Amino acid sequence: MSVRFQRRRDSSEGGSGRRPGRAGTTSGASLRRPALAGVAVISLSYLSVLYHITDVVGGSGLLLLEAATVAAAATLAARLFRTRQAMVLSVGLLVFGGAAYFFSVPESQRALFSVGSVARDTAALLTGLSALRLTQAGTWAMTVLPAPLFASWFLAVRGRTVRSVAVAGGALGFFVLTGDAGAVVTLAGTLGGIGAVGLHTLSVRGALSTQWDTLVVLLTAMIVASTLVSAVPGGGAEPLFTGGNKPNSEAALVANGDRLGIVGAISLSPEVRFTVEADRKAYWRTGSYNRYTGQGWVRSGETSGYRDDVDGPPGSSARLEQTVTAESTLNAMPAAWKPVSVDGPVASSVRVTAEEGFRSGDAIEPDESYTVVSELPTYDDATLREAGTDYPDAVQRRYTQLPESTPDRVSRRTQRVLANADASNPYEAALAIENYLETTKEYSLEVERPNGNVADSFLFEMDAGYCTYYATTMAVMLRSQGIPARMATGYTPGERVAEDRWVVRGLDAHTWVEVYFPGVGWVPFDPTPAGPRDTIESDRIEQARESDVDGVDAAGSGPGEWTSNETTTTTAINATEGELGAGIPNPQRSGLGADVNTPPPADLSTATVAAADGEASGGSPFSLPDRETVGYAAVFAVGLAAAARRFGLTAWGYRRLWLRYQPRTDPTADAERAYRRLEYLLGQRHRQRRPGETPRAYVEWAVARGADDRALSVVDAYERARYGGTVAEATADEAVATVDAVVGAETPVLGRLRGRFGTDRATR
Amino acid sequence: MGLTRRGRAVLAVGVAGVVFAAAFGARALNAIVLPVGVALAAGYLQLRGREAVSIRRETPPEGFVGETATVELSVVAADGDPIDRPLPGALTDHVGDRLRIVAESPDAEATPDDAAGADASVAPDGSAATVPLAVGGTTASYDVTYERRGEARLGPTTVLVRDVLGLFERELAVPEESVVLVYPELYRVSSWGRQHLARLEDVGRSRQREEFERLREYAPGDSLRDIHWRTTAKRDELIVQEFAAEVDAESVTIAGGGHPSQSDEMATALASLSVALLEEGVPVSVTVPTGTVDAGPEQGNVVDLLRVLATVNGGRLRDPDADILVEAERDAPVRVTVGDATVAFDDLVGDGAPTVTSTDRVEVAQ
Repeated sequence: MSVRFQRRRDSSEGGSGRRPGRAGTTSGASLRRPALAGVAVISLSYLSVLYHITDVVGGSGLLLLEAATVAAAATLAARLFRTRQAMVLSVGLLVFGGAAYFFSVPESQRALFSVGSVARDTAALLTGLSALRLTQAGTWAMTVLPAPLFASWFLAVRGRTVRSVAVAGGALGFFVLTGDAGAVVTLAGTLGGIGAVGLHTLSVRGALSTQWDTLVVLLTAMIVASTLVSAVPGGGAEPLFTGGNKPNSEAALVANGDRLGIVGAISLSPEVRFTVEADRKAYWRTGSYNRYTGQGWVRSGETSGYRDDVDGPPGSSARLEQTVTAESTLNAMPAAWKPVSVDGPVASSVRVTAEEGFRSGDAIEPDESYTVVSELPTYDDATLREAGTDYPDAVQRRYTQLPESTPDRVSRRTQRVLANADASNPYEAALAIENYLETTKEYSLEVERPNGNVADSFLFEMDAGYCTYYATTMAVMLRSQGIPARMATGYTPGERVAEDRWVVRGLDAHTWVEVYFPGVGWVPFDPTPAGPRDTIESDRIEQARESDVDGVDAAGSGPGEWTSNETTTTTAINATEGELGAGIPNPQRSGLGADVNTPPPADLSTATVAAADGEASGGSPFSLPDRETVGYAAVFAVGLAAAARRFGLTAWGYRRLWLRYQPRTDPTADAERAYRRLEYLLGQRHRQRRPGETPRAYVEWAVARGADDRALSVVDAYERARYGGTVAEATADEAVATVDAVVGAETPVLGRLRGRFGTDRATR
Repeated sequence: MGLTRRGRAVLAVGVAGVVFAAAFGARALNAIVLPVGVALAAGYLQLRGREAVSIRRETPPEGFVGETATVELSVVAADGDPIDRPLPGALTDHVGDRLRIVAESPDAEATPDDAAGADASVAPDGSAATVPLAVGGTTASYDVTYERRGEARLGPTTVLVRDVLGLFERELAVPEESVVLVYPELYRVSSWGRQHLARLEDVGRSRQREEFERLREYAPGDSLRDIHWRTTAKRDELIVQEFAAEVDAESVTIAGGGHPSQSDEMATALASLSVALLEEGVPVSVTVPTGTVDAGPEQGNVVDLLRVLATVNGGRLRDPDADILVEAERDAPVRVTVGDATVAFDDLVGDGAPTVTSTDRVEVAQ
């Protein structure tokens, strides 16, 4: 007996393999956290939005440099600073960014800044105003990036993953609200954030190894759910304080918002939208867009209040008074270019956009009408040919922008088109491009929206498209040659129902191109082939009339009621050279120029068939699945695998396989494994072997209960292998074969077949 | 089961997404709202059915005040089986005031991380430790220092289970407690103190090898040291000398008593003196107000003595005739009377430093 005093044994000696969770450990800055990957994904998601903005307006290289610098600085700071200091630094970056943006806007606009205006602008952004609409969008992107990136990366490196995701998620959420983050980017960012939080939660010892499959299943379910289901209400973006522009059913074409997305297949309504009383028909224009984003168009800049002093076009012009009566709720104000004054109940809410078009602040209800006076630029071919290229600086800057990522081949192809057509001035260039697009592309409303740059895709990959594709591509081609051009939206003249009266339907929604000519102003060009378009339009109207759709006819429209020598389509306008441009693209160019090789398709379905039959069309039914499908399938496969593990299917499946198929090694191991299989099977059928019960006693018990008596020979082999140390190969073979047979007889059909085979082998 | 702060924030994001979509347009909000909905639904489903757990606590060994030991806990299902697919969570174990949980690293107490952070934390007063872990997947451990003698309580325990994203959590209270016995604080009696004790007439143990009892013939197994060469030289055979056996030593009786408020000090004095004597090979017989315990090579295990001293309370001195009297009056130092001399216990231990510090461990062997 003794009482000994000794040094305490170090508890870490002889520790078991599983380290227990300990009270009293800390964490510092580290780049080896799994959750960092998730934070990186969510950071990249909003960075990609900013990158897209700078790609459109310029400065993307600088932005990437800035992002890399900020991330490196945050990593370094995580080792040097305390969290509180870093957060103060982040707020400082935000304030500094705001100041930098303030001083970057032209001095004339700086005066407009006030607490109220900043708050209003922020609210507008948060309710769907695209950041691309900001005049200085590039500078804005540069100044807004550092604060959230620094803060979130700092926190992530310091292991404060949840706060880091909150900061990064705030940044991503902001761009989701402005509408700049697309569904894929948003989903990627959301999953990155959720993944980071999951990895962080599972970072407690022992959790990740048991629950990673749950996390994978969760993320997969989120991908599947959000691509298949639409849970949120609401249509297109409707930002506050920007003029209440609710998109109408032709939203894809004439949503008079500040942003014009390009979509895939669209269907236009045959319902009447409005009627126009005017001395002359024109393209009833609703808006135009200056900034091409690669996926759509954006109108940048602010609207201003309407006063009665809007200028006409720079050159000569003709006055046209139009009285527009709404037949369904109108969110835009159709008017011939260029509107100078407006009269009617809506006049008080009219605003003038940065594009000098008119926009109504309130929706125009059915039967409401307004009168708008437009000054139509007048010109003839010679005027346009000789207009020169002495563009005003503001026009040149605003209307020759292209995303930096626009492929060079667009410009090269355009140069070739111009060279082939021998075009020597902007007018001829516009004609050449217009003609090129009309003759090389089919008209179809049933197209799939391309993934990349729409103009590039339409020019090089697509065979068919509708007006938005034609117009976008033409504008981009012109801009690639330094010719100012913009996207115009509105309606074609519609159906003439009386001498001075036109009925305009949803089907008349249209987009075209306007090209600037010094001394003349904006001149419309319509690269869409008019023939097929009109055919589709009249067929749809006929169909609608036959099936008694409401609202197809209004104010005396109807089949063949106004029988003038003119038909209702633009093709018949016989404008002679030297006549007014009159707000109509020159018919010689747009209508008759549509020498489509194939006859105009009879209806939409044949139109798509025709497109699919067209030479070298990519419509082969056996084409490779696109990247999206492959990615989706891969995600789904990973998710299924994780789900199988999560819900125990892999273990179950392994057990089945283990029971049925026995790979052979050496006789001793074979005999032992054969017995294990037998014991498992008997355990399933009867009861488990009790602890202490010998295998022989157990099997004898089972045989007495009706189990196959061949089982006894397996026990013999097992005992010989286990206790005798060695077993003859033939005995082991027989044991395996017997178990194969028993398993086969005891398990369903597939196993029974195998069981018979096994029996044969056993008796051989 | 309820939403965590994180869960409420996520829910708010989802609701805000729907509201903003309804009011200002869908935009890409679907890609936020649906994952959020899936996350919340999955979180609820994961915690469904996880209603009760039970705790297996590896109780640390009994020890002296000042010692530090490790408590290990694992969570099992209510029926005692291992938990199937352990979910992340945290385990908070409470201890009674006779124990204090120590944080291994000094800043562990400072900043616990986010709700589900990987850092463990210890309550500032050392009464509770929280260890994040996979509930059922791994064991939690923490160190306790024995603060006061007596029956120290370990438990109750609170187990927090969260879903893999930490959106929902369920708090499960496990009332089971266990007890660890803490022996009195032990002081090493100084050499002066030992001499003082040695003055006892009755410490009748043969301390010199020279005090031999008899001579006898050599038998296999006897030490060569014990051969009595002088006698061997006289005779033809090997003769060994046999010493007086220690077993013959008589026990020293120690009696303790005093005011209940001083019972800790009394127990410390009794334990320190007993251990000092036992180290010298002297058996002791300790009488406390509740009874008498013997300890020594024959009389019994020192552990039994320490267990009695761990819980002894004050009371009347029962055996005033004992060799050593330990008396603890209220508001006075403990007095030790050996024969006719009475000294303060503090004087016997010299510099007064406790023998056992937190880095030393006393191992009580049989």
